[in-house]
Amino acid sequence: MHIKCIAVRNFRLLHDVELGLDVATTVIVGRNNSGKTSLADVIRKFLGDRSSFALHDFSSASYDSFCAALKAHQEGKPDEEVRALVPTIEMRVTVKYDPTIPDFGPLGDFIIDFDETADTALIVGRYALKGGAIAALFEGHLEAEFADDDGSMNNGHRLALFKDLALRLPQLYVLEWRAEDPGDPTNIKVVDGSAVRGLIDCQFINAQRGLDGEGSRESDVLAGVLEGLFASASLLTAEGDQRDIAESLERAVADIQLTIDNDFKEQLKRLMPTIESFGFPGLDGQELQTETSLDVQRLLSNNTKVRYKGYSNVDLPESYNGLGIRNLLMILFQIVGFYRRFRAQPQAPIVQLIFIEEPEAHLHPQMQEVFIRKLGEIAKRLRGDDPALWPVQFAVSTHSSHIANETPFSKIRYFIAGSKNKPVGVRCTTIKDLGEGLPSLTATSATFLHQYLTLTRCDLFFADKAILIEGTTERILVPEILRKLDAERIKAGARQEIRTQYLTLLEVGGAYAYMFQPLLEFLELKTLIITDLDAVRPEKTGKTTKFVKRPVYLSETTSNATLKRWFGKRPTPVDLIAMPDADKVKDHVRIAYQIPEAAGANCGRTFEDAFIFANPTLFAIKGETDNEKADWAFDYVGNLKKSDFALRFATRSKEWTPPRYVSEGLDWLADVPAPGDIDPNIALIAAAALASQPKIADDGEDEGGGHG
Amino acid sequence: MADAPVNPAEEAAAKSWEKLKRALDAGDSFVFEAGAGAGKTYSLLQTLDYLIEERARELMRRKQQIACITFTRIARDMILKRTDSNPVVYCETTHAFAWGLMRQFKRQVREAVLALDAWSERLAEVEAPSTLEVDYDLGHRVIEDGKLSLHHDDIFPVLIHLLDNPKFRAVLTSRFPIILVDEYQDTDAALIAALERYFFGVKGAPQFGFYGDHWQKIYGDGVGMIEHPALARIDKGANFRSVKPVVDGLNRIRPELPQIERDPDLPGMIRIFHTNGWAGKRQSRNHWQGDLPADKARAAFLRTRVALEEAGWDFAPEHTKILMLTQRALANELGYGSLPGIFRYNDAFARKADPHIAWFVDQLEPAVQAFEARRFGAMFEALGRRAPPVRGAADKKRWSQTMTRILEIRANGTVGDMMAHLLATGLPVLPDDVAKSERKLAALIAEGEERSRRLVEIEKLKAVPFTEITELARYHAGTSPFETKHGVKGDQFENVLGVFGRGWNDYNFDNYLRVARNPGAAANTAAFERARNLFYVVCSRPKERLALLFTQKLSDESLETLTDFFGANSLIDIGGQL
Repeated sequence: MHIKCIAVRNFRLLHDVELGLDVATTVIVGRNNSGKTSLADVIRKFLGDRSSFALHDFSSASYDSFCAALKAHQEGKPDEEVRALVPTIEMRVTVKYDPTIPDFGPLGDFIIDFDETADTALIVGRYALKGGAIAALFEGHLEAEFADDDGSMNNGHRLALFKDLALRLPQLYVLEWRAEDPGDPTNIKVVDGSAVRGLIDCQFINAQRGLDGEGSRESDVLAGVLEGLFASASLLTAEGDQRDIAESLERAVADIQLTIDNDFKEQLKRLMPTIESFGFPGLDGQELQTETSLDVQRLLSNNTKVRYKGYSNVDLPESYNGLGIRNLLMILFQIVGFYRRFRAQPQAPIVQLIFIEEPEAHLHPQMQEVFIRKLGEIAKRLRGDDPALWPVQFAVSTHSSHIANETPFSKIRYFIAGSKNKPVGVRCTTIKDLGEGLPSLTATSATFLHQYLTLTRCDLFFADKAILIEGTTERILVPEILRKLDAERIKAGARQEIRTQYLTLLEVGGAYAYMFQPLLEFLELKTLIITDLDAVRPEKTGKTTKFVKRPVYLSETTSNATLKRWFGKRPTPVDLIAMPDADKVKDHVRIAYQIPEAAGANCGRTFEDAFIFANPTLFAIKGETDNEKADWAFDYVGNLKKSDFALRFATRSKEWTPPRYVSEGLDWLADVPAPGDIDPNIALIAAAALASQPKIADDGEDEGGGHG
Repeated sequence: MADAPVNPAEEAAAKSWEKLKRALDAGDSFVFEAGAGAGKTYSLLQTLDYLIEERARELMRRKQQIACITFTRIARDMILKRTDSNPVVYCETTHAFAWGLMRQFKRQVREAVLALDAWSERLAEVEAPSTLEVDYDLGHRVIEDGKLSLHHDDIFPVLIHLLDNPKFRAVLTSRFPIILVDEYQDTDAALIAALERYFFGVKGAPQFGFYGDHWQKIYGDGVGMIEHPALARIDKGANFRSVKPVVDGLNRIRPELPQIERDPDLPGMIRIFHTNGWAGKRQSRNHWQGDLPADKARAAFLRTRVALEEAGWDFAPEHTKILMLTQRALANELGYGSLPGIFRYNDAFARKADPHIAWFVDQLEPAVQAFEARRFGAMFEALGRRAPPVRGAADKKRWSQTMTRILEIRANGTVGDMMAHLLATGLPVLPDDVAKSERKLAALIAEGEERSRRLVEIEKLKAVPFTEITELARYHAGTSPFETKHGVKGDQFENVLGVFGRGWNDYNFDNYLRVARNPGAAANTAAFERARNLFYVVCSRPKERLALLFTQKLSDESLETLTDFFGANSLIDIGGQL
């Protein structure tokens, strides 16, 4: 049995999403503010600490539904119709099971279909308006005004409504659970929240682990974890050996307690002033006793430190170790703790779901990769070979490209927030499943991509925009070109520098760039592919025909695989040069290759000769005619050491003009909005309403809420 | 809700609402009589809305609720939805409401059950009956693992027994100071008698509101009319469904509850076809006496249909409903031609008077259909029980296998095959009366003894392909005028053609029509009311056009009655054209 997917509705950025979970480990990636934290939060609220919801937990996209419900109520529509409009925060957990097993265990309470082949059970948590509470929810707002044309609500009234809603929700909304027949949504059974928590054990390892707080000496976090381990070991239902340890700890303390009761107490008694000595009548004959008691729990929390064995028996305090090591130990200790707690449950839940937020903190890149690789092994090592002993699923959210690149596509879930088809100011998350969502990606491409991503450091999953380049020269010079471009754009009055966006540079080359295209489309990543014209001419040597590199004017076609894919067939250089810009853009991706600096002028076939044609004064180009000049440049580039060339123009001589094809491409990239871009002009009415509501204690959880 | 009246029907409705409101405010118990098309459900919801508005806060503070008792689950779900499941309203079906009251009195319930005749046989085999735990979730009688499961039929007798106890009554009163009953005419007569004994006119009793129409009581143990000096009677003299010509007819059929239509100017049509002019020899066998021979009945029906089509009727099912109150002539066309030949009376299948038929049509067919659609919640609801817990694959398998086999038999087997399968698997459990007849039949066959008429009928039924039962169920689900229990009564159709004939045990429409204008002269009041109610229900169904066809010979008095009801111009004798 495992959790197959979790769907969330109307929660913060998660207006309507579905997250498929891998049997073992799911890695959640995405840019900042794309709803990753919201996901952990909503699961925590439903299954974990059960903290309550507030108005700002409703997705901004659902706010209009409150208004629509009020309007329907105002118009005297039947409660049934009004209720259908009032937003509900919903979490639907689909559990997959083997329909042939003889005993469904605690899941039996949630299986309400009699379909022999059905292999999923649906558990639905709803934060919904209480029965008969519609009038109470909208009390005092029946006079609110709506526009005649589009039915939108008067702003002032809207503000007042949300102010009241924020106050009323806690009283009028309840959290309820039901089992739903996956084949028939009308067949439902109301279940108890405790039954759900007995079914799915949810644990969280937060990003804030208290490791790097101020005064790090204070944070004996590992000792704190130890205390938790003791607590679960001393449960009556804990496993035998665990229980033994806990008992021997108790016994050891009990022995000390005995000593305290005898010797320590005697000595302490002598400290006490004798009461008779005060000589008050009535006070004599009263003997006061002292009692000092010890318990393991407090010994662990107050007086136990974790230390490292150091040189010549000087033990070092916990915090003397590197943050990375402590972070790793901390996570591992907690996982062990969750495992022990799971084993100690009197009735085993069907699955334990462990959320790990940003495990990469303080870990160096290699350690990050090892961590995600080893996560599955840790589970195996703890429970042995029988997966039934500890059915655990990990969900790891990360900003580390090392972790993301190490993970097979099938386990990656990509979060992306956008405002497509939404009212101004409303953003919603879409979750993309790389395992299922890339049908256009062939198996070989997938293998190639994954290997590429693993071998190179690449931030595709986190970047706002990407640039795919050919090689060393571009890698060194494109950042320089971006700097020049930004300077010009700012001068021309552009609002934002392109370099403030998260750009990732991928050295891929024209032979392979096309393989990235399905992935880039899928990630909705705005991408510029800077590639080469790679002009060639077919020439016969003996029996075979070879495509030989030639200056553009002598060439008949291109050897660039990406260009061939993009334009179909074998385009001629003449075609390519004449290609209108519109044809160079496909959805989110634009392709750029050499074009003449001015119409009819020489055209480069690689970055380097294009650079030469763009800066004729920097190079002593020989030749009278354009063709002679082209020949010269062709030979010059042929003998060039590329890195020297690049470094020269990146460091020593900085006065040069970028080739036109690169600047045009980058201009396009600078102008398209990134998917997560927020229009700074928007002023959310709801946010204004929220600003005036009383502060809620758990403000810290609001990050990633995306109302900003 | 109290908008200014804009049409005559609304004006009448507003008047009755004022009366109803006065009764509610004064705390008086009442009977709210709403004829066909009057909008009874609307008034009930209006009452609930009003009580929620006025009383909810105070009631909730005292942990009291308004009980709203419905006849079907469909009605309950509808009311829950329309009142937004307000916690101050406790809406349940009669059985569930009764059980909800009783269950906390475990010992008393057990004692009452032990005294029931229906249980004596089963209890005789139990060692310590006084330790049994009584439950009600299977809907049929079982004693297993120290648990005794009640039958639906046990609930009212036990409740009535408990009502004898003053403390139980006090608990009832303190929990539910207001009790509203929907479709009161169908409420168990013995239960109403007990309520009358202990509550009507008694100081400190709950306030009762009975909503319904005693003319729409069709059959069963329903109480019909409730009359008591302590109960105010509030009539709703509106008809929102039908046009004036139809309402006028209804008002002459039922002068004591005059209704006012929505719009006096809307046109309508009434045609009454009879066959008195046919000179041939009519049937003479006892309960078929006076009806046309089958082929002529069919001809009369076709002739009527042609005449109506010429008058502009569209016989597409979404426009016209045909309500069959005679069976033989059309059973063939409806796909269950064998059934009239097997049963002595139409009632057996047309009214589901036969327990086998009733169980097949009311429970097995809906359950099988729900299973086919993979709607398992609906499946168990149809079988009248709670879904059993699914602990493992075996639990699923048992139900899935038996239902799959039932599906096969349903398509290819006979009723006998089906019965053999049900008896062999015990899933779903057969009702007591069916199982009993089967046992008896098996024993008699084994001994080669003579069988009673009913057992012979069952034997014959077993040879019938089960598809005929499915067709019968389809007829009942859509158009049967007897389907009051499943909410069809409220259904309304543009055109209605009612076909009246003989072949019934309980009905003779000529007898009714003969004395319809002078009920006192009726020889048998019960039979008179049965026929009258059915006649009224058929006549009140259409929105625009009503046609009746009588295949039985009508007396002169009856023709006079029809002339009186619908006008001489409406009557057409098609006897000469057959």
